[in-house]
Amino acid sequence: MAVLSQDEFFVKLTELFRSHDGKDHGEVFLTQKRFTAGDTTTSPCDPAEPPKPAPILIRATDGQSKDDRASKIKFSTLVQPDDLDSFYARYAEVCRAGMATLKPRDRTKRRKNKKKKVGGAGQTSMRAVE
Amino acid sequence: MPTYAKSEDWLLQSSLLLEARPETTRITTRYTIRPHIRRTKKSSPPPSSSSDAPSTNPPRGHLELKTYDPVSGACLKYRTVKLAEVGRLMQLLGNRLARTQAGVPVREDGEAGEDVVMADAAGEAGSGVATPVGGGGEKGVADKAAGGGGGGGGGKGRKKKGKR
Repeated sequence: MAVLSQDEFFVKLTELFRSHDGKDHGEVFLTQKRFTAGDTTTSPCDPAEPPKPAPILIRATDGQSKDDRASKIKFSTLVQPDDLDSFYARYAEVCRAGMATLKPRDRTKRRKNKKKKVGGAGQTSMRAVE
Repeated sequence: MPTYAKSEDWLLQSSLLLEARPETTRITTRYTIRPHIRRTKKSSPPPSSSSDAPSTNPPRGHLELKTYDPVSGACLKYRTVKLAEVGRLMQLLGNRLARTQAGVPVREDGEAGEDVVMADAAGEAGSGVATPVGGGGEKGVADKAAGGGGGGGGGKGRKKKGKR
């Protein structure tokens, strides 16, 4: 698994999202965890010791199984603690742009509700007249 | 393995889990696209519906956020289909959770961040589950207004109807 620079990571992530364009199924997995260079076995968790600043490892895959390992897309990047803000601002942008099949902010719903309200008011007034 | 209905709940529990185990906990963001399956009526002929559905209905996607700690086995989930939430959630992943993971103190300009959360939460409630309640409330208001407009007589008539 290649560890990429942030710029390369974003380019590949955009590609990964774009590869699902026009398809009716697919998945993108993004995982983030603290990057500990192999010292997890020594002290998995020590509450007394405050955690030292460590980079964040971000992995992205297309969710293919082991059987499709040849075609599996899998890449990752490391984010240093100082870069977190700038990285996540871009990350959020790329994700929002890529997740096009999610429901956009719905305006038609409001209109329908308005209609309903008008209809409801009409009915009640009718009842009042009766 | 709880799935939270509100992103704030998920965020709170996740940050607690991360604070407890910053070294092993990981956060997975899963974006899934699935074909939009229309729940058709049984009477409609299947061939026509199957040919129409893919062309007219775009695939539906959803986003699932999962905080998982393999040591304790704790797993917290949040699921959404709203595009409007994605930007905010990803920002929260960075500003709050990734900072905890990285061992950097979470920035104390939390007021602005929380304001954003609150505003979005209100928006969610408005567009989501709470809508019928709001509609009902306004209907009630309209009802009262109509009753008032009709005068005392109208009000009495309606009361009698209610008793029957």
